[in-house]
Amino acid sequence: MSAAPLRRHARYVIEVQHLTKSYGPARAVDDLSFAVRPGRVTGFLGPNGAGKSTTLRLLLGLGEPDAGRALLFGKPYRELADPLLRVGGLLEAKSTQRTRSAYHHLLWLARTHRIPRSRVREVLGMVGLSDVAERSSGGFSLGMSQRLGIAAALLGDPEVLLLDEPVNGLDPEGVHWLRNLLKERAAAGHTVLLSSHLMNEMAVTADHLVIIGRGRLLADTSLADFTAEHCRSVVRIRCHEPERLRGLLREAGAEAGPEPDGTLRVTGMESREVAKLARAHDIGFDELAGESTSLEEAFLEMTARETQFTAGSGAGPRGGAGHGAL
Amino acid sequence: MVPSETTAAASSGPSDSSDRSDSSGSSEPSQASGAVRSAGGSALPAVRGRATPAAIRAEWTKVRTLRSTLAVLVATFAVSIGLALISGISVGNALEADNGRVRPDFNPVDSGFNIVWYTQLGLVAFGVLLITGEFGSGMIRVSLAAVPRRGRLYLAKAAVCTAVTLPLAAVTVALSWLLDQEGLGEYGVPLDEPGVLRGMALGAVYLTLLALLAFGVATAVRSTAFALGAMYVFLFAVSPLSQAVPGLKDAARYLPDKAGIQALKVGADADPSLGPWGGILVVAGWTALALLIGWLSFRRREV
Repeated sequence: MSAAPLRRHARYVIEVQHLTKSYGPARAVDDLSFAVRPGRVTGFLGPNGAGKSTTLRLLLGLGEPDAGRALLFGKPYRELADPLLRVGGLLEAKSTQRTRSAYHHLLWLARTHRIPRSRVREVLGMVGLSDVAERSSGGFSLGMSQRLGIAAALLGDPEVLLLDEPVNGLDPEGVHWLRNLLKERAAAGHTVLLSSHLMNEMAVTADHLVIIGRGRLLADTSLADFTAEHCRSVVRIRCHEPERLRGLLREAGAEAGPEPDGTLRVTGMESREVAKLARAHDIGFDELAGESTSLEEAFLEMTARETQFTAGSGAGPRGGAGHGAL
Repeated sequence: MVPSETTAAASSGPSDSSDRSDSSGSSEPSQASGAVRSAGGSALPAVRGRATPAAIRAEWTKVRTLRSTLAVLVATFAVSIGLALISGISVGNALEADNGRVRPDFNPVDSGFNIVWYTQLGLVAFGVLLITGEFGSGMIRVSLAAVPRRGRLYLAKAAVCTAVTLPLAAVTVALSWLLDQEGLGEYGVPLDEPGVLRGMALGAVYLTLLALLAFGVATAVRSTAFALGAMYVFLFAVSPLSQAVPGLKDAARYLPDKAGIQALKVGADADPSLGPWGGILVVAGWTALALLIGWLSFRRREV
């Protein structure tokens, strides 16, 4: 590898390069490459089983990749000195021994890096578990376990956070709190990578998206670009001469179709342009509304395409279902 | 239980606790915290070069904060000394009655060390639980994220296994021997009888080695049930039965429990060909093998 790409990569704190990992015949991660920059929240998005958790586990050195590399600060996780002071990871919330208290769970973790007891109390306070600190973690709800896992990730005050589905089980207040915390840390120049299968959650938390499906990279884009590219705007218009407007819209390159409620559904043109066109041809309208297909829909469409491509290329009978790509 | 200032912070809920945390520089993008961070990432002090002692201390914290491991240790001690006293009294009574239920080659020094067989059951469980509890709960992932060098984590666990087992075994063996003599009454012998102190020392070493052996086996097996099952089936069935099979009897004395317990004895149960030190060396060999197998399994294990 020449020097130029290395210099380019220095901006990235997390680098996944051609990562491949199989479990038996199933490829969990398939030649996956992406990089994560500091200073923003990166959402790691994919449907269940897409390989998000496997990628995060490989990043934390909990398994060996079959091929490729997963690096933090340019090194495999195992080679980091003082890893908890640099990287905070949360994999599964319920990863504690049941009869040990939340406080003691964090205490042994703190001991590995000589983190003072006061910091243990501090992170328990941050995640709102001070009142139950002495209780066995086995009795915790999923949300409380999630908070304990987040406390563990924050314990070393690391500059990188790797969180696998941290929102699962959190109450709305907890979700709100976590979202603000992650945004604040990103704003302070930290690197935040959090996985989710919920696009709507990412839409309000992440600045950048890494979307995977079946272990492969589908998109590596900013949230704004993803929205611009995949969320077609839809305009509904109730007008006096729908058929004439439909023809005019078609001529202008947009698509329009009648809806059961008598409105026209226009895609491929912004609402302002539709209004201008109608006025230019003296077509009166009573109602004009612009909306956009949701990010969730765009995400589902994208992952569904990938799923069909994979299923279609594998099995003959299902391959002829008439999808354009095949 | 909880200091008042943290309780007060928690009662205001997590949503505003991020405001509070700016003193730690952890979530507030203030200039002050940025300055601390640019110096070395985290605002917390680095521990470079002292990671292994820190890992050992963390493993000790795990042991002392888990009910199951503590209960096993306390029960091992209590049951051992209780059994020692009861066995001493009952054997003493049998000798008194001269009812033929005591072996003709009865040796009071060896009698005091018979309890070691029971003590080992508890310490084997301790060695197993040190590691299987983490695999079972998934906490091993948290441990390896904190101590990613697997050799360091394995070593730290083995070190804590030794540091806990050795003193506990030493006290238990010595106390149970003394209580057994106490129970034997006039048939008991004093501490300065030949072989007693050596037996006590070797007993502590044997029990430590066996706990480490169990730890090595358990690391390879990973499940509490399988590891405990394997160890107990060996101690209760395989080892005694192999001694009963004529062709195997010669080989059976090299089994870890046989070699180890014979090493403590001075009477008819002693193994003159191995001798006490030879017996302990045989146990050490088995333990080294088990720790090696455990390490080979753990080294690259997907968790």
